[in-house]
Amino acid sequence: MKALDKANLDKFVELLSEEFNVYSITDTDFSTDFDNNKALEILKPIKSAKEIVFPQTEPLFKFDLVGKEIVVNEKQNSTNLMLWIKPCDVRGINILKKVFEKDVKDVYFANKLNNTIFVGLACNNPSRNCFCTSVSITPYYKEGMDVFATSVNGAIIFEALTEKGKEVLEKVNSLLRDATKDEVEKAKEIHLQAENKVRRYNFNTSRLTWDSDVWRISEICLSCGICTYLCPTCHCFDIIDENYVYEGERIRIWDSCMYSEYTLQASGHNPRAYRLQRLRNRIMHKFVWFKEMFDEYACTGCGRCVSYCPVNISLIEILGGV
Amino acid sequence: MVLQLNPYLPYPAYIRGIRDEVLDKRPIKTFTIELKDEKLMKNFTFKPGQCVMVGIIGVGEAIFAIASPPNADCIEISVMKMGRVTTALHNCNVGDKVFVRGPIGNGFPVEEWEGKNIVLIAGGIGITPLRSLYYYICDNRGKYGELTFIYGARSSKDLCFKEEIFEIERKEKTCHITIDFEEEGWTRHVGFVPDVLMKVSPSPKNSVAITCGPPIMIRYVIQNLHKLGFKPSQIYTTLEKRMKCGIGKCGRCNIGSLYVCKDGPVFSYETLQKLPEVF
Amino acid sequence: MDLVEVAKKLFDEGVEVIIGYQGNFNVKPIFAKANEVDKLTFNPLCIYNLTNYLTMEGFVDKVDKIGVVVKGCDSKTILQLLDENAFSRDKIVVIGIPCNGVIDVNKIVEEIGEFREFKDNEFKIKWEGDELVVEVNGKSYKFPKDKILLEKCKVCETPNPVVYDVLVGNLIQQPHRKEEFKAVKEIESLSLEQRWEFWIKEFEKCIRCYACRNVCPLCYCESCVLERLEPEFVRRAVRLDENIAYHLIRAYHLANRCVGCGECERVCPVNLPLSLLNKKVAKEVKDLGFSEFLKPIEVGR
Repeated sequence: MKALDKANLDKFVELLSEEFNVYSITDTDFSTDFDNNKALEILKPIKSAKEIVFPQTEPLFKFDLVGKEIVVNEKQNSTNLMLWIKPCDVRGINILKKVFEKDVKDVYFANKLNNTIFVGLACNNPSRNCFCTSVSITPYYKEGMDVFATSVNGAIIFEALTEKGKEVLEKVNSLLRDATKDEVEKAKEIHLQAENKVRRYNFNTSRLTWDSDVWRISEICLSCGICTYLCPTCHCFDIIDENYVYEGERIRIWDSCMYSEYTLQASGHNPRAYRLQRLRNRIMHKFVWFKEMFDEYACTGCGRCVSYCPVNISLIEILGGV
Repeated sequence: MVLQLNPYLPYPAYIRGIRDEVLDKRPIKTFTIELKDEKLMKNFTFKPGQCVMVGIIGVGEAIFAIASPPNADCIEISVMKMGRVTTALHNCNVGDKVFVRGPIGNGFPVEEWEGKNIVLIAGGIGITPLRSLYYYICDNRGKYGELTFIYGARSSKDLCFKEEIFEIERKEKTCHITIDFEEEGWTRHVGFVPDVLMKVSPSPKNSVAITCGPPIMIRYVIQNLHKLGFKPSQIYTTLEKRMKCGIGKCGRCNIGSLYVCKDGPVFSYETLQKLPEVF
Repeated sequence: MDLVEVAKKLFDEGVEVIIGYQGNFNVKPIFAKANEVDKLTFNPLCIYNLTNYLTMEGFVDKVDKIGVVVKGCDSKTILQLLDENAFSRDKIVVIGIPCNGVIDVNKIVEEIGEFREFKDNEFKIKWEGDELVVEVNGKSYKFPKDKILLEKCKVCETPNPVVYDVLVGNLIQQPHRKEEFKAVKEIESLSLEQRWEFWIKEFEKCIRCYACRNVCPLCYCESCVLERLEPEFVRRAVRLDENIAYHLIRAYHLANRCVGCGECERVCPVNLPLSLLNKKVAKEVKDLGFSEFLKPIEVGR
């Protein structure tokens, strides 16, 4: 395993930036405009990493409004590198991958995913609302990462997990040294410490039945889009045409199943007109139907929906976590 | 038929013909659409019951059941003027450009039904997928048993494909056309489709019933089919939800773990029974 | 009488449901029925403006008589809603609670610095003079008011409800505070370019989750202009220009209506200074010679 002394962090980012669009963590989101030292410290941004592979507003193609012809967008060729992405956010992208690649492949998602390298960082300071270990991942979950890193005292130690990952480490090789045995041991210790720190719940998804009392919590739901927009696994979208003067664009934008307009049909009929129906649909999709389809929960335990719900509706409570 | 590499990219097409079906506050027109690329059009194969996304640049897309039979050289859709896209379509003229994605959805399991009697029960504009199915059955008459056709609309003016329906009436032994309320000069059935179904009372023996129409009609038709002895596995219907992507990604058309756009729109009642909040 | 006793009496008198607060640490709104009356609480973590629920999903029309718990700031919303004929006065019973100010729960957690969710039964929180006293499992913490109070409470002009049918607790005598638009004046002192820069940096962050609109008790149109596609006033695309249009239209629609409850700013996941925007409009309205919010108290009672 390789190690980088934190004193060389600036140079490390600089070297990577020569070849990749380096995105890292800011308070709000993943951005190319980040603070090298802070990015390493912030647990996770308010927004999840999903927008790198599934942007909130994404052009599908352009069109010419006069001739009524479609103009296909050029493909993006530069490579993005997600620096210090946390296990829960990578997990989110793994879950999105299942949806977007099932049956019909979503080329926009697939292209972005192919063009992105994930340099993940073990989470060493889980927050109050984290519950990743209750949805079967850990603060050192690596699947989907190309490089897995752990911050150990004055150094960051790296493990390349894929060919792409090896290439990335090759690129910054001049700054790296071999990790000491102590550091490797310490990393393992940090992983376990973090894992123990995350609060573990015994979720009881069998209580999520159609007529369950748990849905009564929807009485206080504001039906805003916070939980869905911040969620690393929510992937509902809308497709709309945006017109300018002579040209326009068909774009897809995030949509939220919590909005009443989401299912409103042109006839005026709305199969999910009430907040209860919408909340139930969202939670059951994540913990019952997704499980039926893909044999796992569409939840990474990042806790964003719990932290940011304006009226303190807690997923943990809904799932019967005590 | 192979989908385009990019499932969001539609095929250029144009409107070959427009026919008025119903002139009302909510008018219905049938559009004949042909893909620009002849080879594509030839290869555009589908099953009765499947849908297409038809879009107008700068307005958007909407999903429609295909009304034409699979062997036609075009795609026909019947459109009721409702929202943005359907209004824009109604404003189109022959020759105008449109864009088509599809075919979308599962279609009717016509192979499974071979050797069986077929009961078609349609209401209003819900006749579109059943029209496609009817012509498919006509073309493969030897493979299927007896055919019963029940079609109803609010009034005689609201009947879609009027001439064709009357033609079918002449041709088929058991074709029943009904309107909700009495009208001067109307000599056929009067009453709601589910009631006419009881009057006709087709035998459930070796039969499948396929119903399509407004949700309220479907509900009562299913109830009555039950009474007639049809098992849930013998009843099929098509559902309608708001849809955007048409490929099971965007989320809005789900009923439980099923997506109407991908796993439907055709469902057996056996499947629907197990699902919550179908309509 | 304390809140639960008041509520019991109201239930006896035919109130069907009381929109109030529940929990000590894990505070959230509750639609309490008579059998849940013991769940009702009030403490300095009761931050939500519950009047928002009155206009949601046609709630007032479904129930004959609704009780609603309001603080001073929330009570102003009731006046404004009545003024707009949002519902009839005899439908609601206003349970007013004089309030010393509310606190963001995250601030307490941060200050206490313990990594856990406190159980409701091991957690107590209350004002004692100018100090906030928090008791957790026998341990006691004290915080000075100025350090911990929510910004909006620091300039609160109405600690006492301006409209109520029943009062829980005693009216608060506090030195008269006044909203002097300090923050607005500060930003007005910047140059046009600086102001523009300030706002675009904020609006760029907006994710258009519509939480600010949905939490706003005065955004209760059945069909919101910002969602209309024909004509399309604001494009759905989440981009700086559309975001600006969204927030400005909303601010204008709240001109002379916003009561400054600050809920929009509180719920914003990306921390947009929405109160500042609304205050700016309020100040403009005031400068034009209109009364900024407070209509005469007699409107209610």
